[in-house]
Amino acid sequence: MSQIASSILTTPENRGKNIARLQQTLVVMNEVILGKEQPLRLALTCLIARGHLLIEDQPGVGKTTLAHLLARVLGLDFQRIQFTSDMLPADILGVSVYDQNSASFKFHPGPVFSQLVLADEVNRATPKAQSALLEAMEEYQVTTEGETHPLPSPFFVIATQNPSNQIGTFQLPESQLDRFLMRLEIGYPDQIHEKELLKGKDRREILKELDATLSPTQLLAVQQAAPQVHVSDVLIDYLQKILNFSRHSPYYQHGLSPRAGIAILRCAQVWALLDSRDHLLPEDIQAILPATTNHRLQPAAEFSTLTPDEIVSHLMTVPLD
Amino acid sequence: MKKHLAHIVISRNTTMWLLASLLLAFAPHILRLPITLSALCLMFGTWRFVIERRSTVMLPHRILRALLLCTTLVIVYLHYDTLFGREAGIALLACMLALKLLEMRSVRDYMIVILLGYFLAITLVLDNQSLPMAAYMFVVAFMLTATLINLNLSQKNSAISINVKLTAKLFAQALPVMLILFFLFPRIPGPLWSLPDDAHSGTTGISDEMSMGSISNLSLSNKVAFRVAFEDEVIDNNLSYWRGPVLWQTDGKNWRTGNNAHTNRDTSYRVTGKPINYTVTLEPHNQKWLYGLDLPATAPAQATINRDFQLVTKEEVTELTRYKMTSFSEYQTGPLSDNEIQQALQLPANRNSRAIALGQQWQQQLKSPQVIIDHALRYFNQQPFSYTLKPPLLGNNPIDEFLFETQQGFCEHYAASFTTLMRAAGIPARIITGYQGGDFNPIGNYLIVRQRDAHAWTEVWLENRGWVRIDPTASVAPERIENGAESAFSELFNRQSTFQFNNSFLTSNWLKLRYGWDSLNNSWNQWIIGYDSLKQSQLLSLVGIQSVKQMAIAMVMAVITTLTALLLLSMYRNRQKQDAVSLIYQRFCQKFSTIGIQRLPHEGPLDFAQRIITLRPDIEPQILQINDLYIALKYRPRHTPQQIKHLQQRVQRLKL
Repeated sequence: MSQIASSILTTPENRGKNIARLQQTLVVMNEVILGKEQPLRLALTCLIARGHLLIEDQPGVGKTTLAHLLARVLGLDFQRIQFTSDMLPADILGVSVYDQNSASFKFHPGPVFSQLVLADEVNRATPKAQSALLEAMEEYQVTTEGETHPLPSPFFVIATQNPSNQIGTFQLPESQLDRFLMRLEIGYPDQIHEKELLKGKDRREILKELDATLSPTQLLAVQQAAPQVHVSDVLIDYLQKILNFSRHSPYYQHGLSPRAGIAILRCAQVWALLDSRDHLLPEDIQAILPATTNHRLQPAAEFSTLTPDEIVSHLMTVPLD
Repeated sequence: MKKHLAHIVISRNTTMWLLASLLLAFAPHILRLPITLSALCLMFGTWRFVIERRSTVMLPHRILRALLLCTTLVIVYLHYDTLFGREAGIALLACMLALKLLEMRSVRDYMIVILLGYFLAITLVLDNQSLPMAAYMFVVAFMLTATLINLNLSQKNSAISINVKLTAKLFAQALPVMLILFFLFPRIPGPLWSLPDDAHSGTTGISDEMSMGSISNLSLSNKVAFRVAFEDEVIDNNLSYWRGPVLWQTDGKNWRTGNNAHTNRDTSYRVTGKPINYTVTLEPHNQKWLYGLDLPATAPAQATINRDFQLVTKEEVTELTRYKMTSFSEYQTGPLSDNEIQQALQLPANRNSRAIALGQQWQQQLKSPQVIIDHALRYFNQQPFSYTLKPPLLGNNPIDEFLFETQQGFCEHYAASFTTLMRAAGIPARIITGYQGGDFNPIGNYLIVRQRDAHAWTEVWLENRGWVRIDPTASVAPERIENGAESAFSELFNRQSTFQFNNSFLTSNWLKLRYGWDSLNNSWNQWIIGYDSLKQSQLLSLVGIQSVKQMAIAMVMAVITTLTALLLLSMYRNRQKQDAVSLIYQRFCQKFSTIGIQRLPHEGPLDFAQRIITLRPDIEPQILQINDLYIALKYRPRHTPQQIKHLQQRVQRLKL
């Protein structure tokens, strides 16, 4: 599979075609969810960069629709897990049941065995159930009763979270937040787009009619093209300056980890690819910087009243050179 | 504790460098130090050398080292009766340094030894501040620095050429600092701190006492006593009498200064003829007087003229001293006091009775002082007297023995005998010591007076004429007065250049070389050794600085200027290192800042381009071109120098 993919990549023509399809995907997505260009592009970037996505927002702003939409346009099979406070790990991972015919235990895969999993309201479940999912996200495999079951490839998790101040939530610990490549907020649509939404067809109907714009092979090809986007040394320096700033700035409890640095770079490369560029620009880094860092940085005690956006805005002022 | 040398990481090469440079620093001290101490130091050095060469020999044990230390301290103490002061201090430094070699292991030890080596090198100038010594010290310092570099590079590279190159570079960098400090560092008249008592010992010259043989000893020395630059013409050799101590009192063997030495000048003297103006550069001789041409009329600031017409100073002359003088060769001094007459006729009753009898006999026969003097001079001329540097040893009645038995003597013999005879004949007389003659250096245009030109002559007091100079040596060896000591003792002085009688070409060149060398030494003395507060203020007044305060300000300014220049230089270099592309882009951004559009420090090229296009849509194509080129050059993998040129041209052509 990977051999085929790389052979596809070797020709610049195919590469260009794949990127064009990727951009086409974005256009289609924008037709379904209106007026949310930036979050949609970030969500797509996150998946191309092989990262899991955390969406945190009010109910009803289109979190689930976004997950559905991504599954449709990328041609991935989709499972939704509604997290509840009485959920057990087996409800996510699956269970082994005794089969009388074969006189042995047979593993029945849970909803997590799917290419795109929507973990809805992940912070309503107990930490035990949360960690079952998060372990699967990290390992790309599920181990139950001594048996290891690989998860399908590609494997994405889009987790949604209600704002933490709502009743009956278990806040995800920082170490688990770090496993999400990006954290997005969708926000309310503006007047014009909301009007269009209200007047237009039901979004679910539209989703049903959608065809995949990117085949699994093409998705893989695009994923493999991303790391080949050229990053000049000056941009590595710039990224390091950002990391150092976060580590020495009084605004944050802790600085960004090296993992965060890698995440920023990977996302920025995909972002450049979506612009049909073979090289990274500072703007790429700046574009994905808030989404990739706002769940990793905790404000220091004296700045605890700052919103995540305000916290991250300081990172954006790090000079280029 | 015993460690095998093989375990030491410092290379053998470094130790050899160190030993060689230390030997170089120590070499001039070898003959100066007591033989035991020199031998001890050399022994320790050799010990270390052997350890280095043969890995089977080990560094001495701690206890042995302690024993060696105690022994050395005792030896130094026995020699000098102290561990302090100049001589003992140098000896102690040299010995401790040599001992340190026997426990030198770590890099730190090596550093200490090298620093002590620099210190030992500095002690060389306590003794000798001549140009050759300065050159030698330079070599020593160079070697030590090369060793220091070798020590620090030894792990990587110990090629001699690298050491030498780096050392030369360091020296070249230090040179301007050295010159600035030398010429501008505020000089204080006199020493900064009190020097040990023995600081200036070993300087040779005329003393204020004279006995038979004291001057002839001096005459073997080629050392320069002083140099004289005349404003007009050089005076004749037979007038070139340089006045030093005046001796009145005698016990028949030794002669000493009289009471006049501490009284002020008698003003009742008259001078006639042309004044002779000249400048003397006197080598330190550790005595409280200066030399002036007979008869000094003016005293320099640091001296006064006493009643003997001698230039006396308050302090010993311990540094090279330069002074301006005016003298008159024709003069007439005033009357004598009773005390002076008594002193000028004083003779011990129990010694030299034959000479006194001869003088008295002359007085009775000849009556007139002038006739007696002429007769005495004729006596020296006609009797078989000879002029020699190696007169026979004389006993308790030296004048008698010299006049009637040996008849071989040097100037002090003739001056003392003549003065004794005159006093016996009732003519007031005294001995003047000083220098006579000198070599004229045609290259530097000055007169060199050496220790071998030391001389003694007589002055007699005559009615209506005052003190009159009579040089009895002139009657015996007129060539001494006419041509100087060198020609009188050519067999002694010219041994090193015997060929000069055969080959006049070589002779003249040899002389030229000698004069050239002395001229160089003279300049060195004048400008480097003799660079004192006075010279410094003269030099600074040339550039408009009048006071020390101003100079301090000037120094601070100089330091600030130098630092600023260095800072600018490093900034300039950094700018150059920053790639050309960024510089061009900066210029591009500056063009927009002049019309009020500032690129934010975190603003990427695309964002900035977009912003300026919305503000200046009229030049959109140019902006996009420039931006594309800039992005290609800065953020894309491959680019050509031509692209840089294009970018530069486009930015230059951009008109807002």
